[in-house]
Amino acid sequence: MSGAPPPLELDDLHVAFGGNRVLEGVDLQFGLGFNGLIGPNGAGKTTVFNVLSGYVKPTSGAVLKAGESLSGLSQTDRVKAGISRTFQSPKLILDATVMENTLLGRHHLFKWGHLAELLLLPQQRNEETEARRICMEMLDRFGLADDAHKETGDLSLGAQKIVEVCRALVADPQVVLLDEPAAGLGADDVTVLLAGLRELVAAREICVVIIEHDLELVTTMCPEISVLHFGRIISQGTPAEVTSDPTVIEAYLGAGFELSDEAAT
Amino acid sequence: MAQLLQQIVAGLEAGSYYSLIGLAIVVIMKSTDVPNFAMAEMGLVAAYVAWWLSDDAEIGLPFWLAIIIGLVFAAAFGAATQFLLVRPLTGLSNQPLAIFASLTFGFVMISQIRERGLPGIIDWIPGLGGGYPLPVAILLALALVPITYFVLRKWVKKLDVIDHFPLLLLTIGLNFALASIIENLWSSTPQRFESPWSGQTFNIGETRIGWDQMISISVGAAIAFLLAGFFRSKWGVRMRAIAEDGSTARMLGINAGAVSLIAWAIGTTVAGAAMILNTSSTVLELGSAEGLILKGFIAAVLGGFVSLPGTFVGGLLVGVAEAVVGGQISTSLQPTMALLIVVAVLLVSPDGLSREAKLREV
Amino acid sequence: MAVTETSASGHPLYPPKPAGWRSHKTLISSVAIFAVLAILPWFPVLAFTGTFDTGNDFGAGNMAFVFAYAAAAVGFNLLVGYSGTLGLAHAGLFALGAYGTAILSAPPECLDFDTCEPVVRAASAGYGWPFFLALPVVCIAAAIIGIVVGFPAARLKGFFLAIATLALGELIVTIIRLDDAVWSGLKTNGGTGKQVPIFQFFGLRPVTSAYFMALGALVITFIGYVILTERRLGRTLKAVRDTEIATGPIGISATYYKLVAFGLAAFSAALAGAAWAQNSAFVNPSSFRTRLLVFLLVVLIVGGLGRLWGPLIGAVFFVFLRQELQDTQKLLFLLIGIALILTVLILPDGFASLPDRIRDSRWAQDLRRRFKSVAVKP
Repeated sequence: MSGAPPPLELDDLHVAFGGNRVLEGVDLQFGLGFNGLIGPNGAGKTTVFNVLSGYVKPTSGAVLKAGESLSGLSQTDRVKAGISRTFQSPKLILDATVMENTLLGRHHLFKWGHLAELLLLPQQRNEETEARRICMEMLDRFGLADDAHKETGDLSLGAQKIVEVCRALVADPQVVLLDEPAAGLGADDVTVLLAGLRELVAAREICVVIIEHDLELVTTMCPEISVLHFGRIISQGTPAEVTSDPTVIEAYLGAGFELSDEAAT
Repeated sequence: MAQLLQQIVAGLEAGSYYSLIGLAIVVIMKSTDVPNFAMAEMGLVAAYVAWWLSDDAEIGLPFWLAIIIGLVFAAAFGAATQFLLVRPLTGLSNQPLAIFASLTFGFVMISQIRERGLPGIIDWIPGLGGGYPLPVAILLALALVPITYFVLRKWVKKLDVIDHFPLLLLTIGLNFALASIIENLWSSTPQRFESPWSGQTFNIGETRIGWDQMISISVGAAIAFLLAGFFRSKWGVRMRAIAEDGSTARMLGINAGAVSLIAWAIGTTVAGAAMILNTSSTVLELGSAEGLILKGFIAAVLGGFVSLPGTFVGGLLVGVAEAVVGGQISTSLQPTMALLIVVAVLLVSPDGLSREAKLREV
Repeated sequence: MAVTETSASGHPLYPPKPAGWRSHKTLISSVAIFAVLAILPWFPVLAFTGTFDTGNDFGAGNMAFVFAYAAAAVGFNLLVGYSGTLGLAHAGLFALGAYGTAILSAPPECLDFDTCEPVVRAASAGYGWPFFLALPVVCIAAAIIGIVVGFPAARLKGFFLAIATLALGELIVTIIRLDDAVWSGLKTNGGTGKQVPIFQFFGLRPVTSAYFMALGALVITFIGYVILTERRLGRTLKAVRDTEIATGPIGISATYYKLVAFGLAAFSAALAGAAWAQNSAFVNPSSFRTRLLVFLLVVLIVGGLGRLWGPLIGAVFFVFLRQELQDTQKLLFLLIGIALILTVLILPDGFASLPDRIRDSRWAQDLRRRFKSVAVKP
């Protein structure tokens, strides 16, 4: 284990809305590659993401990315800091094309502004073309290249969710937060999604955190899983460790869960 | 000092009208989520009806009877508007609208034929020439009825996203149409609408206060109080449920249709009361509603569109500020007060003067 | 350095365009339409309508009003239709353009009591700037004021923003009206109104000059609108409209873009207002009150929100109706009201969407199928 700080760390995080204590004393470390965050509904998983992306201010505790604190950073600053996320229900422009929606992810990297756009400067056009190239490669990775110029509203919900994932990934993040990416996806879509993600993680050094309810998916993809329950972390470790933990079984899994053979360790 | 008190009373009076219109707007907003730009105008129609029935005009009924019938009319009018215009957009049947609109259209066309004569019917449609013989003109009018019916049936669809904006536009259109209808049905000259207490005053020290002012203020307060109580009651809770989440409320057995009708009936009655008070205190004229609707919205905004007490207080605040500033500093500044207050309040507190918490939607 | 526009995997990076001239459909149709509009004063092809008979001053003046309202509506379209922000101060900014150019370009006060009567003096006094200097200055100033008006957008949403901006727009008009009564120095001549010095393009007659001024305003706003909405700014504004909550984590500052939209809308409103003033020759605060805003809304909605030709279609509809019903004012409001109601109920995307609506309707699809099967049969 190197001495480098973990890509993402939550340190004794407390979040409360009025009297409602949503997260209590959450200590989490997410490493490179896939990390799972599971737990029953209402446990506070999306709140963790909201804190990380800047929607919610913690009442106390620290949020660190590669050792540096994120506190005080606005939402727009965080994407520059290398954090990207998706949402439980996709937030896309339905009457724009898939390519246009994906291009939004490159927004913070554009150097030529709108004045250049108005003046029809070629540099702006070149920059736009390059950005489109990058987006097309990403869409290709997830099998959406043929749909690039279709209206996003015409795609299935599953495909839309993948578009949102692409939008998050083209922003060149070091940390990617995926909120239930597989929910509502058919089996084929899920395979494509996971294959694409795996390729990406192998090629770049990124930290991916996945909130999921599909336990088979989480245990197969993520070598490290954290379990959140009523705002507290009740277990953390490899799939095998977490699924055999009696507190987790009682709170969430139920007695009948069996780890599949492909589970990551 | 006496002058100041007079201004305050005048301000409270004007403020009561703003509050009442604002309360009507909030009632309808809270229960059916429609921003009703035509609220004051709808109330004005009821005021005109009441006046027309009273002994100042043709029918000659006693004042109280005219008022009561006017208010009943307001309730029916409000419910009918909701039934015909708003419901088709929220996914319920557009049949009532189609039937009503096509029949009204046919009726108007035929009465225009009678009034203006034969070529007149086509002449009346701008841009087209005249000179059609009577049978053709009548056939045309009658043919347009089923055409209108089918066009409406086929093309009036539920809105994809039931947004405030289209509904606002709908009510703006209604506002214009009603203003025009009022002018056509009754004359455009201002009328006197006398109440038993018109013109009578009493004195507090050196200040002269009109009874109509006191009545407006007290009735306004009474109505606000009653509304607040109503919304806490069984029916009121149902109303709020419908606005929050219509489909879930329906599943729980709440009859959304009935509740919406009642909400509009109540709202329009309140607006009617406001306009009746206003026009009997000042004068009954076409422009009465135009000035009030914006101030009513300002009052509603000050209440955050949810809080009845906030709306009530907001309206009074605007009225008093206008009167006092106008009297003490300069009358030219009067129109700016409402605008300045709403901008200032919203900058400080984006949700108005209410204290209801809003949750995040991520 | 040529940059190819296909990805490594062979997919086109830009939406594939139909071959030949069709790919420039928008460009060609726009140029054609504006060319026709430009020659109308000398070839009054619309004479049959009466209202738009550009052969005479009356018709030309009406067309100029159409262009002015359409230009204002284009900017309004950008703000309300594209970025989904209910910024309703448009009438006030329109007034700024009208009054601003009128005041700045009017000749300085005539001090010779022998030749200038006081009333005339006040109604026509100004700062004596050349018109083409006053125009950009006023438009840029209006853009800045528009951004200031838009500041509440950072904290206010939906309806609250609408009311706040409406109030601010009214405030602008009220300030104009209060000049002379409460303070002086703005030279707006308060409620009495002001004469607008007409700038005569290339020595053209005043009415024709106003016609081209208005057409020019429309062309400028139109071009700006097309360029900005087809590209990055357009999709960024749509993101602000449809996915506002997600814009932060993408790196798009929703507030910044709303302010940009406010600024651009204000600029076009002022430009349109200046053109309008040239045509109407007289400005008065009462012409810019909330009623004007509602008219602009009608123009925009009936024409088609978010649609390219919506503003022009809506403006034609509105001016036509207003002229035809000149004598029966009552009917005007009735018809406008009914038009608005019907638009919301039947054609939510306005008249500009009618071709699309018909094309996509069941009935048209049936027809097409029938034609195809007929064509296939030997």
